[in-house]
Amino acid sequence: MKPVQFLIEWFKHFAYESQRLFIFSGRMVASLYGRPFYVSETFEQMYLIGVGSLFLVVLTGISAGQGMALQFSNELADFGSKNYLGRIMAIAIIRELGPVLTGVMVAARVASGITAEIGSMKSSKQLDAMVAFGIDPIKKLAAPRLIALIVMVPVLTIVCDVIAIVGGWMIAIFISHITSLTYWTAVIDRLNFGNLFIGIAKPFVFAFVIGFISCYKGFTAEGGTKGVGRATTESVVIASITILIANFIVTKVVYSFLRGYF
Amino acid sequence: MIEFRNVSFSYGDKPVLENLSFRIPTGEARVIMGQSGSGKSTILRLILGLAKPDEGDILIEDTNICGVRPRVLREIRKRIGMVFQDGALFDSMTVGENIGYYLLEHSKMRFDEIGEKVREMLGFVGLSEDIIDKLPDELSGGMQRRVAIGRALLSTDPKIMLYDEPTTGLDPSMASNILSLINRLTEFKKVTSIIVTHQIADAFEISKKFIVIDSGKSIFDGDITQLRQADDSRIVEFLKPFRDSIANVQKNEFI
Repeated sequence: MKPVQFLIEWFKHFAYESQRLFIFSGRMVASLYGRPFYVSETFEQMYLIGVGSLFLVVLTGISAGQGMALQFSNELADFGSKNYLGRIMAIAIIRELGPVLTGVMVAARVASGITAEIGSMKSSKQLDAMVAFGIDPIKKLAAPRLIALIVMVPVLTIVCDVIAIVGGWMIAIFISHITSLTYWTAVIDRLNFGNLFIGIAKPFVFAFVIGFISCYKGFTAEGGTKGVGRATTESVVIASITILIANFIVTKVVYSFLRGYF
Repeated sequence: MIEFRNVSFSYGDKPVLENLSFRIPTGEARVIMGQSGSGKSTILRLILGLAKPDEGDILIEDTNICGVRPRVLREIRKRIGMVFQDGALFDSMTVGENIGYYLLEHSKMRFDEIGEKVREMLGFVGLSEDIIDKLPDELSGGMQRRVAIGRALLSTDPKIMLYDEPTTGLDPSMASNILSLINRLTEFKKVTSIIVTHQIADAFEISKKFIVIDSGKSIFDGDITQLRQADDSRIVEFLKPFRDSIANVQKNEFI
């Protein structure tokens, strides 16, 4: 196949898949409204996503926070500005690193699980069985997972932010020899509306991204076990890339509208 | 009553069913036979509304299900029980939860009432109550198929039962048990049954009337005598390995 032809085919496929994903996402959002509400399934998913990802997020937060604090404290020392460490940590963690690292970690852990579970249910005709029993599989399977993600990704992001900033504080007092008061005063100084808003807006967007992509890939998985495996890999890759792209877009949009609040 | 009128269906560019027509009166059992990939299972998916035909009409009890609203389709599905190929049991749920699934989702019955119904159903399909808390993976293939039949029956007290390859992969004695259960349902509950299979010997045990599908087209619709006399080369070729089974059925009928 010629490169131009290949590109045309790729764009056609991309447009077709994007259109299907968009329609599926609309159906997922619509399924959030109206009875029945699968409350126990939603709480179960919140537990699986939230508690299940906690260790990973804590580990990511502490290592990212400490690593960043160590590097910044060395650089800032050259300018005699070590006291600004808390300020830089708060901005970098709350605005960028916390949401993105949590989003990517949850995408890796949760998106794969959701796609694999729904995909194997489809492969073994369990989704057809649900429809035969008058149950909407999107409402039963996708909606609880989406709600759980919308609740738990922001919570996990806050946990990651706190752990990362605490990790930075440990570096500040034990290695950089900055007082706790100086560090925390600088951190609290940057907890303004703009930083907190962008820090919470991003995980909400990422939750939708992970939910839409992982469920879509599960519901459209084809080709038996091999197909489910492929869908799972694609789910993680696409969700992670989309999170990075969405991160830039959210940052740009929020800066455009809330410039005066930072 | 189930009726297909000139139904055509394709997966993408690949035609699966072409201009298919047949009619099954209420309370009758009909076996749909054909080789793998001939479009048999697609017929069941179309009856359940899991797929929509490209052309033609599908009538269930005088309601044309093509183009009806999802709510109407859901109501029609409540009269249909489906036993999927390999059972399609919910593998993360226990046997009890599987059988009582419909009642758990759609009824306001208490848990103990549902439990009672599930136990009754386990008895009806010839299974012990001891397996109620087991997961489907812990059961044999035949037991899984019985649980699937129990789940379909307890769901809606169906007027129509659809079976997709109910005996495939089972040993002869287990297959015989499943066939007698299907016969019992057809005879005593007077349900209209469609059994899709490529196991010819099993087909003769369940029904006296058959439809043979080849490449998405109906090449035969009639009883055992007509089937034996059919001179269509495709039917002759399809039945060649099963000549003894057909002869035995004929012999038994004369006796």
